[in-house]
Amino acid sequence: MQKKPKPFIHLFETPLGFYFYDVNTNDIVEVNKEMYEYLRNDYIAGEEINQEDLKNLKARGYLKTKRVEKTEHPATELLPFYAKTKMGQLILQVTQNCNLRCEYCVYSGNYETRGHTNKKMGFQTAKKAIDFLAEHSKNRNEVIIGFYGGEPLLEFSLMKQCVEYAEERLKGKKIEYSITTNATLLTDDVIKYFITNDFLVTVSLDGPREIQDECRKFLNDKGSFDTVMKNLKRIKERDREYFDRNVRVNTVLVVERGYECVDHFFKGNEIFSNLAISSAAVSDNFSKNKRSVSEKFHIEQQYELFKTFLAELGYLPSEDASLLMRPYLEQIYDMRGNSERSYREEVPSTWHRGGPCISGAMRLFVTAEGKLFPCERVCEISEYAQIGTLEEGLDLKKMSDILNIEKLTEKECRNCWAYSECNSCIRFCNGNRQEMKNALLSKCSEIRRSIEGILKDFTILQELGYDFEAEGR
Amino acid sequence: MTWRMNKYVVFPYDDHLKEIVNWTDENIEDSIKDLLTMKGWGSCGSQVRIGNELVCVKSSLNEISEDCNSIWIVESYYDLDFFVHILPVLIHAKKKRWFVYYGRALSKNEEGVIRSIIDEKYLTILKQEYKDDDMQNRLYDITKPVIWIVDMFSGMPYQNVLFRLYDSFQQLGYTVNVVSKRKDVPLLFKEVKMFPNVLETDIKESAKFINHYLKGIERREDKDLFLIEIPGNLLEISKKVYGDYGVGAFIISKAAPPDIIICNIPYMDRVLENVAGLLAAVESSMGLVVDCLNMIPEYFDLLESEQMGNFEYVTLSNDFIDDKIKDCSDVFNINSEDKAQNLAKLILRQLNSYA
Repeated sequence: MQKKPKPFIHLFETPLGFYFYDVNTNDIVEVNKEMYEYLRNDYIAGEEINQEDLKNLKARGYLKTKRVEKTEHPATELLPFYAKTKMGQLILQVTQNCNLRCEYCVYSGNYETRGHTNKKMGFQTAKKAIDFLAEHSKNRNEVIIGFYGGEPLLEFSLMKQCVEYAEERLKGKKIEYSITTNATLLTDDVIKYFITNDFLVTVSLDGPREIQDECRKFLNDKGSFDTVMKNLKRIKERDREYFDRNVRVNTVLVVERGYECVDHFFKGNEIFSNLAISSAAVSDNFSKNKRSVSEKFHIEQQYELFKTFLAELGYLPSEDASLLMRPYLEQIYDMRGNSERSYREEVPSTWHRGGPCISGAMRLFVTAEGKLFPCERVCEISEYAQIGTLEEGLDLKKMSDILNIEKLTEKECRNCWAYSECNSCIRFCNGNRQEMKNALLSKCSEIRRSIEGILKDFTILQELGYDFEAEGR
Repeated sequence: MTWRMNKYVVFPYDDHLKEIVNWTDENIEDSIKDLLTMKGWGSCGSQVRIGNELVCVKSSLNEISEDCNSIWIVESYYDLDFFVHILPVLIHAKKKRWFVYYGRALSKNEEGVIRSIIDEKYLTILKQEYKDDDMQNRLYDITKPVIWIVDMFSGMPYQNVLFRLYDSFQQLGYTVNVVSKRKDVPLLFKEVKMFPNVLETDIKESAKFINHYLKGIERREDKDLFLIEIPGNLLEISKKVYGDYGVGAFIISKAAPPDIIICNIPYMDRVLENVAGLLAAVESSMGLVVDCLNMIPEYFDLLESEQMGNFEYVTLSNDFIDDKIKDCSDVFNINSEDKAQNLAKLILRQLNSYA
């Protein structure tokens, strides 16, 4: 006998109530405890439920059983056109070398990807890449050229050549330049150049001295904290307005250590008061050694989140909110706040789960050797992830495969309640098809946990009267 | 007075202008000889057929053909900083003693700068006269049939529907008053009138000004029908990126009520499933009935548009659109002469049924 298909929902509870996330409508619905138990027990009532309530839920379009039937990303048919004219961001790997040896670096040798090398991008390769951008960005008025490494400032001369060439080659477009740097090589000339060309600068800084110096060291094993802080102050003294507008900090959270000290460091230091600060845990994508979150880190992180919510709701002064948690609030808003667009009647029959971007079309990462990848986060030794070369151009078939990556795991994905909110993509993968499938599936529970956390936090904040669209948010 | 043949270089050229440039060249007595683009726009080096000649698109003023004696400064899809990109070209034009035909929107400041550089006898900037002293302080009926061409949404790349239809009606033996929202074509081809720029200046009186302007054309020209390109858009699709909310079209509908509306729409997710809804929305918000939807070969990326705060389109192909709409009776793609002519015949049939 065929099993009756279940409603496509995910049940969750908070201290304030009982809810389900309705996958078909992308809506969060509050129910009473009896209904919650009824739905949890596959429609078997422990206590009597109000049938009228159930009827109303269905009449409002909830509790549908529909799942996606065919995997195809909606942008697949548009991919050739995007690839031809919509390229918006070029990221140049100007060097594979670095003057630091950060313990957790993806290129440290602790990951199944390339290590640090002396390879650097020649100007001819960079020129080809910029030409490529010019030829593939007809439908863009604004483009971004990013410089990446290793440590890109090791090739500051090349960077300047690239900017000079881009200004001429891309005349008529607005160009924004960006760099991700360890900030140890910021001389006065470099700072002046960045200000003149309005560079967006992301500085890697992990926190207070004891954290920064433990992980982010020079080749002679000396810590980099003093150098980075000194250089940040120099930018600020040179041009305060530029500093506040264009400099941001990226923090790598070492999950074996604490969280509070990092948060307090950024909060307690006036230099960071107007800066955007993003944070992420040390990556374990294709890592040789798995990392585990210490209890101290977890408790401190949750406590900072709790204080942030209280501050946002007005129960604590705003200074008590964690700077590191601001991006998380934005993430909650992005996922749930824009309710007009995120609502739907049901999942389409042909669709693709959330996660992949239009690889290579809107953003293109060019390695020192001229290989093309969707972004700088993918594994550089993965043949699957490489989508072409500057010489041969983009491989549309590969781009389409990456866009439709769900095909590797479609059986598992179609029944997953986190289908539309998933963020899994090629960046988790290297190796052959089976290895890729395993890598993707290994991320599922973590992703679901994270999405459930956002659903719960959003729901609680909303129940407590938080206005996501209020002034200043 | 000596007559000269103008040989134009077009600036700033981009691929959206290919048909406009060709059409203008075919219809004017002068000729278009060269094309100058911005290097970063992706057209540089491409070959464009203009009449019997194949012209290579240039990016440097020094490469422009010595044959050119005039420059036609046209509207472009992307903005250009006047002082950074256009002024150097004007200075070059002055050195070369080119005649300058300036067909872009101008601020008073920019116009002042142009007039300070280019001598009056070398400069043409079209100004529309829309006040007619013979008119009373009231709206007049436009007695000739009025056909609108209007965009459904804001920021849509320009499509050459107006001039294709104009040609088609002419071939079918009808004379047409053409009013374009472009400022550049009317500079060179006097048959095409420029839509008056009143909507931004005086909204209360603008219906009357537009009405008098069109009535004046109707009286003077005595042609069979009006083809009017309506500035602005009919509907908004987002709260983050938006046009004029249909305000312009609404006011113009009081000045020149349309007998036929051809509405351009882009391709976008689920648009073909929601055609009836779109048409109903136009009718309920504007009181206007769209007779024909023309799907243009452009994809509107709503998500990216809202993220970027700009209208983000991706150019598609006509074959792609033809395939998408092949089973839709409500949606056309007027992308070729014969399709435009078929539409012109349909329009005439419908107009005759009103008579």
